[in-house]
Amino acid sequence: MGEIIKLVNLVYVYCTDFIISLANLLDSSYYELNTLFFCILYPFGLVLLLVVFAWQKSRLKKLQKRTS
Amino acid sequence: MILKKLFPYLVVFVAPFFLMVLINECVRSGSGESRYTTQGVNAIHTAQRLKERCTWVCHNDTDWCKVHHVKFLSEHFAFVDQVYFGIIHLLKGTGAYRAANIFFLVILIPVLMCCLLVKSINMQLEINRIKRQNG
Repeated sequence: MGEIIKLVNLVYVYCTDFIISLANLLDSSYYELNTLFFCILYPFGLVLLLVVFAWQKSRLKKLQKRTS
Repeated sequence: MILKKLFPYLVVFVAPFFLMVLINECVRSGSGESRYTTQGVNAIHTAQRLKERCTWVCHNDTDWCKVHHVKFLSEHFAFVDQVYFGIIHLLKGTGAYRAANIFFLVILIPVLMCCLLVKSINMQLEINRIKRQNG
């Protein structure tokens, strides 16, 4: 259990360091990059991909029905 | 055979992590300042309050980051804070903030997005194949 907690902390710190590094490289801020990733890109990206997936599935089904 | 099937998913999933390691290690090699230590783990960045760039202080004290580093979102704090701290409270509500962060934001959502993307591309390839076959 202790090893898992250690690993979780290690990954968390490394990911937070990445956001700080990226913020400094892009001349932005930790707050803004967190907002961009977790409040905009993740929710909207996930919904967009779900919509595209459903749309592609229905297109493929229709096409398969037409050709069979 | 399984590996061949999983390969596109692995590439899409691993690519952002590769970028993360690349950027972090480049920054680490160029940094000679004192590092922040949290729960026994040494971070890459310092925890000094620097006005010119973000450090771990911005993680520990969001108001500091908002006052000294935020450029574009200053006029939208009222709205963004609700979503930003809403997500933080949700993750803290699980009782294991750091583990929940990793489970949802580093594993679950990226895996879902990566699967949806690769599946959608595969379906488009199948659509193209059927269209070609039927003229």
